[in-house]
Amino acid sequence: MEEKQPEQELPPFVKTWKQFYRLLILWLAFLIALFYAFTKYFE
Amino acid sequence: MSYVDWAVLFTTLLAIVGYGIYKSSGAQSMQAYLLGNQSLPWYTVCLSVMATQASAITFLSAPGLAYSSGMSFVQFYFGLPLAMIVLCITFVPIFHRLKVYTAYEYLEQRFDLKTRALTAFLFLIQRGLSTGITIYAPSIILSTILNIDTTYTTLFIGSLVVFYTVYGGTKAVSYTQLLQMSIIFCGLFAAGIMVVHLLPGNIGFGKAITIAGKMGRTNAIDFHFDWDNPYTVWSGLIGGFFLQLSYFGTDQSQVGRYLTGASVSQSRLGLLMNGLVKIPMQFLILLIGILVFTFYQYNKPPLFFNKYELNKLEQSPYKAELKKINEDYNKSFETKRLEVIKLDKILDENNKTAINQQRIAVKKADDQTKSIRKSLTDLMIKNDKNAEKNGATNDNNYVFLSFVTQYLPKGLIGLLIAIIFLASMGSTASALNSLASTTVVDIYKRLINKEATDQQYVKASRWATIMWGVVCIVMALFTSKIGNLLEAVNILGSFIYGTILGVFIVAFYLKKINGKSVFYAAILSEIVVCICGYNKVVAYLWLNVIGCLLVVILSLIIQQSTKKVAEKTPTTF
Repeated sequence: MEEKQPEQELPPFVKTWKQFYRLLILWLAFLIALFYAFTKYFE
Repeated sequence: MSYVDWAVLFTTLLAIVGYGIYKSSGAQSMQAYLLGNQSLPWYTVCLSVMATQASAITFLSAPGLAYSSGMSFVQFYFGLPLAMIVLCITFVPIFHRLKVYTAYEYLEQRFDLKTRALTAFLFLIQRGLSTGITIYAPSIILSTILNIDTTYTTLFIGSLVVFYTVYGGTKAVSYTQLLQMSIIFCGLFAAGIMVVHLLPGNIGFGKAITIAGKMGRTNAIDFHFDWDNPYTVWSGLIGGFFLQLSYFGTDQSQVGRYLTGASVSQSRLGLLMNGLVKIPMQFLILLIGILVFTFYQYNKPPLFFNKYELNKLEQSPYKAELKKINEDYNKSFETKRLEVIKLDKILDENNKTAINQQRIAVKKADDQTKSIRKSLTDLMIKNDKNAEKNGATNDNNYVFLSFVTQYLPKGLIGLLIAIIFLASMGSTASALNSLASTTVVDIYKRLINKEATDQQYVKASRWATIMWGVVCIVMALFTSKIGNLLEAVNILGSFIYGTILGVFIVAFYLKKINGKSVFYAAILSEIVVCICGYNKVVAYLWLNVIGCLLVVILSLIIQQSTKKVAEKTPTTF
């Protein structure tokens, strides 16, 4: 059986690895916003 | 500790070590011993990577940091998800395709032997030193509980880790880490619930955080740019990105973990999941720290959390001064406690002006307590001139530990102590495995004995693990002289990681640069980084950026100038 090339192996939940990377960046932005709200709310 | 706690502690430790040995069952080939036959699924890779980074120091120091200075430390990890993305795009596919055992092996293929040897050497120094700290951190726990010397506790932890790492190799490391992280998550969750449960009846989770917030402990985000502050959004995103990229991309203790993935996808997924989970996990650990802080606004904390240092002062000629400080502290705490109770009542009324006024009153009382603690640490310095330099005046590492042993119920104490052991064992095992693989693959196999059989290399790897185990245990015995352990590990890494990352960045992205240019650029950069770090020119996180950029820029300059010299030199035929 032919070995799969890295780019052919797809990630779960999304269609491409690029989409997964974007998701992670959005998650980081969301966390920073959330922590900012946390800081402001409780200070 | 009660018998129940001891039983929980030893059962947990033995069960996990036994499981790791059973699953790895004595690897015979070098591929199996150092790479686990590249057969592990993404969730094992993810937990293994997390366990390697989250040492016992994470669970000892982080709540202590939150207790003393708030939650700003969470920003340190902001660069991590971005670093995971770069790793998945560049590093992981290349390492898998070239089927390397260590990251430094790739550098010989791209540059030359001396560049490979230099980076491997820098890694061995950095990892060898910091693993000593990793072993030492939990050994202070047992020594505090049993009141015995840290030497014996260090030897116990070190020997246990060396035993299963030598026997099972990288697979034993990964399988034990899988269980370790699962138990760690459960234990921390239970600890968080218990802290809230132990708060006074009218103080719920939200109010506990509000009180900590009014006392300046919920400072998770700081957008100000400050070169000297290591915990801001910018230093976390930029400095942290470089630190995490160099740590995960060029430190063999991490590269060795994700190279065990069954494919590029499994390694990638493990790293990306780490990027998703790491920051919330660190936030929750710090949150436990501020809950403990609120708890101690109602229950008097010790004047100083490190009992050993306090006892030392009690035996000194300054006993009378200490007694006076203790009396002042008791009065000051009571005043503060009453102010906090007032604040709690005013918070219910929701009157902003009154809340603000009371916040100022609480802060004043808090400052008074801090100044008394300051007079205590001054007394420590008076008693021992090296106290500050040795880290004796910093009790951050003892805050959470003191709370756990004093207030948590039987059984849970044993479990939380086991967690701290497990975390230390996980990261130490990865480190020993990586030190052994770098020693054997990059030095022994490449420079000393090229023609040995596979079995001889496995044997050499086992001996290298034992040798590094001994070195790290000896290092651990000298670590007691260092202050905040978490920062010490990160500072040490920042001195070296930037340079190694620079070499890899040049290797991946600047195809025209040759081995000679990058080698000299790396040496010059390391010298500059050490000078900047030693003189504290900038906060330590920035050293990673400086080291990396210097290697890239100097490589370009050296390459360009040697090219010009070569062009000017007449060629003879």
